[in-house]
Amino acid sequence: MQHHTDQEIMDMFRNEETRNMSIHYMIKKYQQKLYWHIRKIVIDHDDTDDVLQNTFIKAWKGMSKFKEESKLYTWLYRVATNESITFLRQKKRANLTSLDSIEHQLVSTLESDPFFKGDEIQMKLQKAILTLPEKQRIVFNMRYYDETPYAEMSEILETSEGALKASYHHAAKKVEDHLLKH
Amino acid sequence: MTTNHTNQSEEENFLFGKDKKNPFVLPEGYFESLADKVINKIEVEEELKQYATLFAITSPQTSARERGYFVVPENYFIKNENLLEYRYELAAFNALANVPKPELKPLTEDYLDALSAKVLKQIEVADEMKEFATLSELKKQNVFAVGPDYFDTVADKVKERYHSSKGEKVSIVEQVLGLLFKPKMAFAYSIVLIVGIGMFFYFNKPTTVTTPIDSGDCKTLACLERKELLNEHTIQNLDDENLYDLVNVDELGKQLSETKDSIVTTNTDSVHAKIK
Repeated sequence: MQHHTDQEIMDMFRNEETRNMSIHYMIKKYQQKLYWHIRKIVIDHDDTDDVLQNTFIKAWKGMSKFKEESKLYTWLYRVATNESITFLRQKKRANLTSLDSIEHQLVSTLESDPFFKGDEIQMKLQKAILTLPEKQRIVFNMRYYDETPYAEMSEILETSEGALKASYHHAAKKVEDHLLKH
Repeated sequence: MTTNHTNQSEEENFLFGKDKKNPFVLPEGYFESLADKVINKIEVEEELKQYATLFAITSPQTSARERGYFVVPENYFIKNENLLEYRYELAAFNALANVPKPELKPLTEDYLDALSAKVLKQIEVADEMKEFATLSELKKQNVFAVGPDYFDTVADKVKERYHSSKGEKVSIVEQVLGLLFKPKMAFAYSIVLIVGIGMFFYFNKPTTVTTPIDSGDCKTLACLERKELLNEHTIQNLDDENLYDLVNVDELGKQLSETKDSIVTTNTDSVHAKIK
């Protein structure tokens, strides 16, 4: 399917008559990329669905303020990342009384997920990734799975390239160690 | 011929030394045709000299190839050879030979730039992974899945949620409360509270002006308190006037009258007791 360019989407958004269509095209264009990005952070499908919808609603509401200094998808990734982090923090706050940490909960979600299609080694890798701190986990997923360039990641996560490289290196080392020990 | 041959071998001996063979060979009959060729060339040039313009264009220095007006594209003959070979091969497959070949569009500059960036990225990623042997051995795959047609429904769900959130009317009270009890506002309140308490204590601290006489730190007789004087038995060193100053006359009078009354009451009490 041929998607509209970001410029076309933005032009349509500026026109009152085609505004709703622009949102439709934007969702169609970026829903999959953003879904997988969010899914790797929040793990559960229903939670991902919730965060994805919130991301698009936030983008919809904030699109008029969007200064086209950055690319549309960079901005959407930033919104999605922030929404995912906020969601996890809210979940953490809601589970303060629970004995299980959020990381343990994510692992058990992963183990019982009917939409997980990886084998044993992939499960082991996912568990290793879940041991990483929030931001390191995001950096690792973006680099290891999506092979996002550091420059682009820097724009999305608003962190310097050097810090991201260091973060990825630490994360990969931790994952490697976890895989070897377990 | 024999003389010629003898002359030739003599020449060879002179050029390459005795008993050494000439390593070069000539096409057969080269020397026989050489004289004719030279004569022909001279004739052609002589003829051309009659036509000044033509002679100027075709200077004797230019080679035969350079003199040609028609040129073929580079590697034409090699390509042609390949094409003939290809056609010959394809001729064996009739059905395939009849299928028209698609016309491929030339690659755009953007694509080529993107391709080089992609390749460089792959190299960078591979280099990074070298350090992590176990990780690099694993197959990179998306281990998560979604239900069928999930992505067809997302746009509608987002629109529905957006419009329902837009339709919810928030009362002014809720808006104000929401604004007042935002996390940022709570932080601001706590800072204001701390600063307020600090200022309250700062401006309302008890004004205990301690004069030297009250504190008794002036190290002079005037600052000594009566009790201290009495406790330290320095009273003996004081003269009568000082002692009179120390005595509070009204207080003393009161105390004396009280003691008198108490003596009287005790005496009456003892009389009553005796009567009883």
